[in-house]
Amino acid sequence: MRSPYEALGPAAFWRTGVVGHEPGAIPDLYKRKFPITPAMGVATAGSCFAQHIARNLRSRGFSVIDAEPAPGRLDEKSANEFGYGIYSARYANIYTARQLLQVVREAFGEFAPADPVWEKDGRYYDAMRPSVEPYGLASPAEVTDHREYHLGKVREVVTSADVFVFTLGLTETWLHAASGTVYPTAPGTLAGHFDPAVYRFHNFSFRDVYEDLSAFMDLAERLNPDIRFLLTVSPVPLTATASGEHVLAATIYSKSVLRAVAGQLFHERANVEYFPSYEIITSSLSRGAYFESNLRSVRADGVKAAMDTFFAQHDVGNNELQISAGKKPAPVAENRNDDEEDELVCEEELLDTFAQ
Amino acid sequence: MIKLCLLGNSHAGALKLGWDIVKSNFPNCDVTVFAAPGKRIDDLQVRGRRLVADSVRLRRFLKRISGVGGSFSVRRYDRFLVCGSGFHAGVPAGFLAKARIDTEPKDERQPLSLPLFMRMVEADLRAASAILTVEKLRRITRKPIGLIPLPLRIEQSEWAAEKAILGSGTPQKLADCFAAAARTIADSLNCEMFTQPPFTKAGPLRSKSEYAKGSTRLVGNRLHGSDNVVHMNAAYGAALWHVILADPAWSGEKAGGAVVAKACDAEPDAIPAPAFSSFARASFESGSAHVRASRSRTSVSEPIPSRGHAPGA
Repeated sequence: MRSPYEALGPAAFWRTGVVGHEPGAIPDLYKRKFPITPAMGVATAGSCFAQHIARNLRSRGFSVIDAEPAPGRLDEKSANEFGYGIYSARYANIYTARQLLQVVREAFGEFAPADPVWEKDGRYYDAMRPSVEPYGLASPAEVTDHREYHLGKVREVVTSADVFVFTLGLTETWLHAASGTVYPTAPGTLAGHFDPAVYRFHNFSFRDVYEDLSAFMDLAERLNPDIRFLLTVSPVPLTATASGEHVLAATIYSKSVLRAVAGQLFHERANVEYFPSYEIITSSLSRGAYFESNLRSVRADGVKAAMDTFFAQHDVGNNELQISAGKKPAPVAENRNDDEEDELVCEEELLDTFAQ
Repeated sequence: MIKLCLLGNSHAGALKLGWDIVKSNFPNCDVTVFAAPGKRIDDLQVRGRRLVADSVRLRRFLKRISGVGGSFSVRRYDRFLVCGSGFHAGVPAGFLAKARIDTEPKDERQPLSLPLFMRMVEADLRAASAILTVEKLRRITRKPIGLIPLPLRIEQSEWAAEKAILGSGTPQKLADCFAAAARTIADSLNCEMFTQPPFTKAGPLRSKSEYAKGSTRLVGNRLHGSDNVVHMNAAYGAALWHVILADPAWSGEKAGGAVVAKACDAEPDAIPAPAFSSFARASFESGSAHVRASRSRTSVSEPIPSRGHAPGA
């Protein structure tokens, strides 16, 4: 053999592996490590983009866990406004690995957040998920009561999930300086008051994210030994950065760290899968066409391209069952209109209102 | 002459009987009742500018109760009154089997914020037969529509969903929730609300039992069974008519007795439907669950003499 590249297949070369292919149909881009079937209980969490994954899994008949369903006959819009029906529990968007680790530790009595109740206009908000009660609650005690109920549902999710899907979103966060407690939004954005003596900005490193995600997986495996993980990286750029860098450079840093951690854990752990939705949507193959005109929101056809790739590996049996039963396989994203992005609950976008 | 059309379920029976008591006081008002028990009124469908009974069972009831065939035109009436299944103040209590709101002690049930609870109540009420009927009417007419919540259950009623909260501060909060949600819905459909006369109530979620005594079924003039806790009698119906017809626009009367709104006959759709400000949600968002009573009619403060029809007779 003259070169080690000689025996490699088309997927190893850019010209044959990428050029000329449709972004949603790149051969061998994604080969499942383990099957995910409709019979498995799938838990979802993560940044805004994770909502697409949850919706598409549901629409294809996968058993997406909803441990904290919307009460009564709330329509989907109202339910989403109050944080229901978005993820497997009502934890709202979880942007960082530290935030995920915190909520699971808290659910199992291993962590107590600092400054957990924020106030705004005489109403009180859960600082760890301030968006789920848009009008706040009547008292700090009520916030605590609601949080205790929610944490019980988080326990259900972690202990019952066959697969835990987590979409990594950000490395930047705001934390309580004295305790290290991180929050999903900067104090003063949805509720609370920003005091630079109490809160500070932090940008997680590769090591931080790796350790946090590893710790989360270790804890989840201890509680649920058969649990598996599916990691994705959100392709959505940062709305704003407080890092002092240009937002484009900050975005690339953030996504690079998250992608590298996902890759590291994928290679290290047999029960960790990485799904390359980030690559499908952001690579030069798509020429930016999967982004809306704001170059940030992902278009419905971008979501479809990613999910088609996913379901090509995981939905084969389901489709066969449906076809044999005379049913047409459920559509994936295709029939959703281009406003799907507008329906996402994404409090990070509130930062855009601060742009001069 | 003002021509009123009453659409409803079995509870229209009390209004039908009540009208017989009070109609001599309102000579310029004519009432036609289209009603059928349960949710049968859901079988009314819009065809052109008519409401058409889309089932044999509904046509049968309409024939027996109003003497009309299976359809009627909205052009024939000046105003509409709607009462129907699912639109009542007991709806919020129904959620409390699995959920609790802030006034209740902590337990295993799901804690809900008042704004969310309010949204749930509104969502449930919007699915009520009465609201579905109003929505159908609104598709074909801009004429005034009055919305009548079903009466509260009587004092002796033991409803498991409510049992735990009666005696606490929660019933008033639930009643406020219902009133606010109902008003939000009424505003969105440009309807006027005619709520239960206060003197017929025995607390925020209960009716005085005397207004259920002797209540009869919609068809056949048969008494309700001894287990009846929700259907009211002719005296209740008469009291409610006085609430509704206290407004000359609904009764066709002026203070001096002259007929008003004769223009209804000439060009019914030219009557501007009442425009009301929406306040219910705002009052909740501002942290106040107290419901203002500026729009709904509950102005009759004294019992209406039953003119020979003693309550329960």
